[in-house]
Order: sequence, then C-alpha cells, then structure tokens
Amino acid sequence: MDSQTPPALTVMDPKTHFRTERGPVTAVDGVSFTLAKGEILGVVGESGCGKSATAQSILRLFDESYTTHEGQVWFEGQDLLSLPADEMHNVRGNHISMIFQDPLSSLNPVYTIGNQIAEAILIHKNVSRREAHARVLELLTLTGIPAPEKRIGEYPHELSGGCASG
Amino acid sequence: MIAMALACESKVLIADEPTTALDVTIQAQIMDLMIDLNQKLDMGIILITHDLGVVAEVCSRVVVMYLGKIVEEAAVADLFARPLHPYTQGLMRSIALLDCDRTQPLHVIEGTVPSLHNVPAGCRFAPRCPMADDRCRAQMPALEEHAPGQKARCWHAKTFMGGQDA
Repeated sequence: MDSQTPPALTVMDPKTHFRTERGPVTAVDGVSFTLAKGEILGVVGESGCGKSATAQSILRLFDESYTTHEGQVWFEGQDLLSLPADEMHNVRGNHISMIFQDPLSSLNPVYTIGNQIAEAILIHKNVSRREAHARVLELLTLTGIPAPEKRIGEYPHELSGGCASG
Repeated sequence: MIAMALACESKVLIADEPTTALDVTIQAQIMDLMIDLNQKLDMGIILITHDLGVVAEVCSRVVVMYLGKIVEEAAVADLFARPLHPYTQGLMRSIALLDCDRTQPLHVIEGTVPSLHNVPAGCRFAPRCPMADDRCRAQMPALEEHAPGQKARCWHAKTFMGGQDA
C-alpha cells in the first residue's frame, strides 16, 4: 500500500451474518480489500458468491434487525460499521454512492426522474429547489441522456432501460 | 440511476452490475461515462460484475469471490496472464472468444455455487475443482501472496506458478 496517499476505502475482515429461517448464514466472510483513490477495482464471481452482499454491507443497507456485521470499513478516518445510523445516513449518497442492479426497479415509480435526483441533492447539500433542479439538468446532460429537459419531468416507466441506468 | 449516484460528487462509487441488463452499445456508453468520472473527479470505483471482459477493459485491479470469500486478488494484467486459482481459470476458460475452436464445446465449471446453509468443509471450491485432493477437502487454504500483488487461496497455487505444491 502506498503510504503517501491513504486509500479511499479500507475494508478489514468484514463478516456479514444473516439470521434466516433455516439458521444463520455468513454471506460475506472476511472479504478484506483496499480501494486506492481514483482506482477502479473489479469484484467478480458467479451469482450468489457475495459480491452484492459485500457492497451492501459497506453501506450497511441490510435491515440490521436480522443482520450482524463484524470487521471494519474505514472511510475518511471513521469506521462505517460502528457509525451511528444518522451519521451513516450522511455518508450514503453524499460521500459513497451506489448504482444498483436493475435500474428500473431501483427507481421509485411514483416520482418523476427530476424529483428523485433532486431529492439526493436536497438531502445532502444546502441548496434551493431551483439550484437542485439546475444541477439535475446538468447531471442528466453529463450522463448523455438525450433531451434531458424533457426527461426530467418523466416517470421511470417512460424511460428505456439504458436511460434508467443513466 | 447514475445521475442520482453522481448528484453529490461522491469520492467512492459502488457500481453493482451497472450494465448487466443493457445491450452492448449502451453498456459501452455507461462504462465510458464511469471511466470519465473516475478520471475527472478522481472517484474511486468498486465495479461489481460477472463480466470478465468489462473488468479487463476498465479495472486496474480485481478481486475474485467465491461463496463469500476472496479466492484471488491481482492486478488485471497479472490475473489474465496467469490466474492462480482454479476458479479464476475456470471463469476464463468459460469466455467465448471470437477465434475459439467452434467444434469444441465451451468450457463450463461443473456444478453450482453451494448454498450458504451447506458450506463445504475445507476449500469451498473443492467440490467443483478439477485439482481437488484430500487436503483440499479437509483444510481451507489461506489467501496468500504468491507473486508481488497477486494473492490466491489455493493449495495448488504454486503448481500454477511452475513450482511444487506447498
């Protein structure tokens, strides 16, 4: 590890246990790795190998009533696995973002695209609705979506799969 | 989805199969967009995928997972040049190449990933592994560094390096 630049993320011996009807299972079993600043790290394996479970454990997206975490996830000098829930809320989306599998089912069908993206901005940044709207337009343009000013007012079902990903 | 993930210019992006359901032209656009953001914003990206082709194209390092554990970790060039875990080797042989011999069936890794309720003793890949012997079925090997920056969890990794088993 380069001692000059600390890694963006250090995952140390994480274990994710789920309580299930058929007994406890350990979906993530010591998947330690570091992500350097500006690095693209690939995680590969067959369905069911724990790739997504690892990702979701980093952001603590599992219902903690049936999930227990062990290990540490270091990000900017704090261990995400021991952060209080409200501080974790600030990390999600603001400092660490996630793109989920299956974009259409991850978007809320009853809100317009514009409102959903604006929500992320309004929660995490101190900006007005108007500023958030302008930023959404900018982001949609950045992601290469055709006619962003039209898309912003549309609902998820009006988008193609590729557009929903964007 | 991606615009939403980018809304706050996070330092880390976790992309879970971001292009899986999309056709290749849109896939390429989304990957280009992610590379662009990685370079412009110095955003660290964890790219979860089952597509080794995508990994070869965009990642610098890769972690291979099997049943909740890391089985191999290496720089992308090293992994493709000399995979040290039979699971990684199996994944690579399962890729259809344009210039492959079409009279031969494509390689498949026999069996399926076992259930987490039924984790095999010893090496977790042993029941599906062509190299498995009694030690593999009895003892789990550690994830060890076999070449600079290349780790594998296999009793036989040294044979793949051209040496004797440990």
